[in-house]
Amino acid sequence: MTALNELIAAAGPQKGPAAIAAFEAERTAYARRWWLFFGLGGALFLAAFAGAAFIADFDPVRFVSGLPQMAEFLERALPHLDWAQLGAAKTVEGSLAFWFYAWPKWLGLLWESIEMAILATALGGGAAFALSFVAARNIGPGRWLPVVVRRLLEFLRTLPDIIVALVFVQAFGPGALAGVLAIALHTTGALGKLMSEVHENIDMKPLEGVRAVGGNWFHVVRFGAMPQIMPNFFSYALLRLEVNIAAAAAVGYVGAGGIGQELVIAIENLRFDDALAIIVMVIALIFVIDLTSERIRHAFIGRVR
Amino acid sequence: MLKLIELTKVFGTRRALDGVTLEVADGEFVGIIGRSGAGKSTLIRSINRLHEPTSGKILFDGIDVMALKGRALRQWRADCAMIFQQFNLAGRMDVLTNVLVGRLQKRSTLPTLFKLFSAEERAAAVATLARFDLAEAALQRAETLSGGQQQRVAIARALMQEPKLILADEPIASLDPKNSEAVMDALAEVNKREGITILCNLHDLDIAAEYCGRIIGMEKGKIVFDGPPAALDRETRQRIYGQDLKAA
Repeated sequence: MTALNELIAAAGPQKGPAAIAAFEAERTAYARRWWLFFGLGGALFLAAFAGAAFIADFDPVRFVSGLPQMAEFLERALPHLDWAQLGAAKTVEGSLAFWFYAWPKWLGLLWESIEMAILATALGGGAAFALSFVAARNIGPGRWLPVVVRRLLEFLRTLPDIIVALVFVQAFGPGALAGVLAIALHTTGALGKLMSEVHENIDMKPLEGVRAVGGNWFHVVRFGAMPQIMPNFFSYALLRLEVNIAAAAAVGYVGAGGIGQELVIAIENLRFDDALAIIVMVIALIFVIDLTSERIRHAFIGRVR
Repeated sequence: MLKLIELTKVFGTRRALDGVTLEVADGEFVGIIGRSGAGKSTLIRSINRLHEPTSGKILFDGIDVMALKGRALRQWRADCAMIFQQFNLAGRMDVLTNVLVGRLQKRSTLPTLFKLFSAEERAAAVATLARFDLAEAALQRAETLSGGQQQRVAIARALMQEPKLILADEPIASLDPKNSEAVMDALAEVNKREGITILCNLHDLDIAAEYCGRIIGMEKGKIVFDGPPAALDRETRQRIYGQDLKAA
């Protein structure tokens, strides 16, 4: 006899086999429900996917035939660098300085974009932090307020920030204010939703402990929930900062301040090499921010865990 | 046979284990008692090397446990099943899968990652749950069970490892008296029926005396008593539990 057989026998001649038979029956029924649910769900998803591809005119043939044009665009955008002249002055064609001829101005605008992103992340992150506790199913106070806040966060999240920025440019005039507000609103929606789901997964025992000493809702959140979620919050907020820097560069497209404005001008004037220079700078910046924010994040989390 | 020779574990400047030498014969049910901080947990955790001892030797049937690495170490851990104070189950996973986790060391990794186990393994898991009156809960999430039930799920998981040794670290410290009894009864039954050696940390002397044929008393990382429960006199009890003990 194998050891497993001995374990089966140990349950007794009646009890063991009866339990096994009952379990296998239950398991089969469970598996059937599972396949019904996910099989049906999968089929529906595939149908929807095919439908969406049809409606969106996603034609693989056209995609492939468009690739050479993509290459042609890149060809025009790539600067004509000359190895021998790479380090030469900006008056010399083929040098890096010639390609990045307007870099002080671009760097200034890039800095404006960063400031916009930091401000928007701080504003939106603060609002998201506060609202996320109200929206969380396990913490939110009362019956209707959490539902209302959840719907509000959904609404804010669904609005594309570039369109909101467009509206704000009409209202407040062109400039950084419109961009900051637009990004902050989107951050509130996205980060608020994310954090409320983090809250829903925390251990409820510390919260009960605070409630048991007579603490009010704010006490429960401050001393029961917050110690558990702070590392996650910093992590997500810094991640959001990275996303927002890209967004801040993008909203300039509709006149809402930052480097995006310059990008539009370059593209409209068919100065594709300028556009690529700007894009390279944005990517380099996001790369740097990514590295530093990872350090900050680990410093925060390391202290807690 | 388990044999510990001069086992020592140092945390910073504190000697949590201070030259522990001990022999445990196959099939024994040993209760380890002592105040918190006496080194009971460190001893248990050193044996399956969740803690790395600073010096000394652990021998099991002639195998040098301290020298084990990689796969051999994991095999040793499968051979000496661990029962924790807080059960250490995955609360959001169903009871049956929690029990089948005990099989991991015996299987190749890939199928287990998709929760694929043999029908025989499933049957053994369900039968073992039935043995502890938990068969109906097999598909429930583990966290929906009471503490005593969860601890018996943990014992079922331990049995699925086909262990030679069960190490229990305060298995009933967070349970009420009735649940404590059910869990200790389960351990006693496993000890008697399967003949598995059990080393069990307990802080309750009466329970230790009731279930364990042999008691080991620890103080400041050292063994200060080793014998049958009847040999525990008042003086030894006071030494193990401190001077201010009144009811003992």
